[in-house]
Amino acid sequence: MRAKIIIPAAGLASLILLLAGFAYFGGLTPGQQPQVPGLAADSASAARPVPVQPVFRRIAIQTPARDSALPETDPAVMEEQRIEACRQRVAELTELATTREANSLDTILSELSNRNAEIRRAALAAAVEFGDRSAIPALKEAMESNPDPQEKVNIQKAIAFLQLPTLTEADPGLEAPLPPPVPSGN
Amino acid sequence: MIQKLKSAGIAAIIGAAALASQAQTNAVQTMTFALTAFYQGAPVTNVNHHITNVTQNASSRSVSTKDIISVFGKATTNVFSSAAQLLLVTPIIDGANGPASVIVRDKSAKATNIVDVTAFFSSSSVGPTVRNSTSTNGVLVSETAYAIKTLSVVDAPGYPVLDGHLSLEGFVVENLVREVFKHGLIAFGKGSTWTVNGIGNKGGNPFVVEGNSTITISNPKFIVGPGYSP
Repeated sequence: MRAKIIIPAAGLASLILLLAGFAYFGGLTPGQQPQVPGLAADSASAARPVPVQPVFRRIAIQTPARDSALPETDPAVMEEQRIEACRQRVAELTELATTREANSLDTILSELSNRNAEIRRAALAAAVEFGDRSAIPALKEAMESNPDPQEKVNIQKAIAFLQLPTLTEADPGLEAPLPPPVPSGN
Repeated sequence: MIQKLKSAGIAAIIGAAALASQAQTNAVQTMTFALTAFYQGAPVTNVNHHITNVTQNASSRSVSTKDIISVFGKATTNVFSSAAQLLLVTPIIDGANGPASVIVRDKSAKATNIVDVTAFFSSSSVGPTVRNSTSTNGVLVSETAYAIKTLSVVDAPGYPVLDGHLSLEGFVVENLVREVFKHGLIAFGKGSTWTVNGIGNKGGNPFVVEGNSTITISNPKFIVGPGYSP
């Protein structure tokens, strides 16, 4: 009688324990963490997505932002930007010279002392194209302060050009004959 | 026929420009002249103690863009202001250069006057063109070209005889300009500096042009659409 009761009860208890064990170790849904760290946790991490991956994603998102800041320090990009800025300024100076707007000459002359040789050259060409002799004092000043001998020569040529009477100011031999030479005393 | 030759000649001024685009784009360049002309001055006679001295002096004048625009103004019956510009315009349609033209654009306070003066220009290359250039994957990245070219300001059919003429020749340095647009379209053009000498006349008086005179054709501005300015 006792054996008839004890044996089924023991079998039922074993079955309950077996089901409980299966439910604990084998029935975890994806993403669930084991309640107890240890072997079960290690085996679960090998089979599931690495939980730190979202951190990598954030870094990956931040990377382009860092890249966009790179041009400030990338020498090649900086050089490209410098060339483009220089080209733009040269174009502006040419425009100022040819449109001959008021106050343009001051802007042009201010660039005669620019650190960039190409802009200085453009400013000189613009001053010549502007064609106003009031630029001559500033050109002389720029010539004296410029250490480059070739640039000094170029500025001197520009001054000489501006000092010439223009074609439309006087038609030689007709409207403005040359003054007679000073008698030699013979 | 003459007109065709002149158009081809104007193309020689600018060199090649190209834009891989479906829409029209204008390559607009400013032309500036800084020439020094030497005229023969009138003879001056001095008589002193039965000795007659005849003195002839050369007289120099500057020839600037304004002077040339003024000559065109007389021929086309326009009075241009001091703000008038001489522009070289190359239309680029479907990636190919159209015929280049030279215009006077005068932006006054009230309106902009545009006069085509292409017919008064003639240009050609003399001999070979020598280049420093770099290409990457078949695309030209940089180029500096050296050539001898001529540029003349001449009378044109249908217009009165010009009050002034020029016949210039000299050393030309061309620099490639690249502009990258959206969608990877790349425009090419050339700015150039001419160091010229030559001959000319104004009001019937002949002159010679000094050898370090310059013509500058600015780097192109690429204006999307048929206009000449943004």
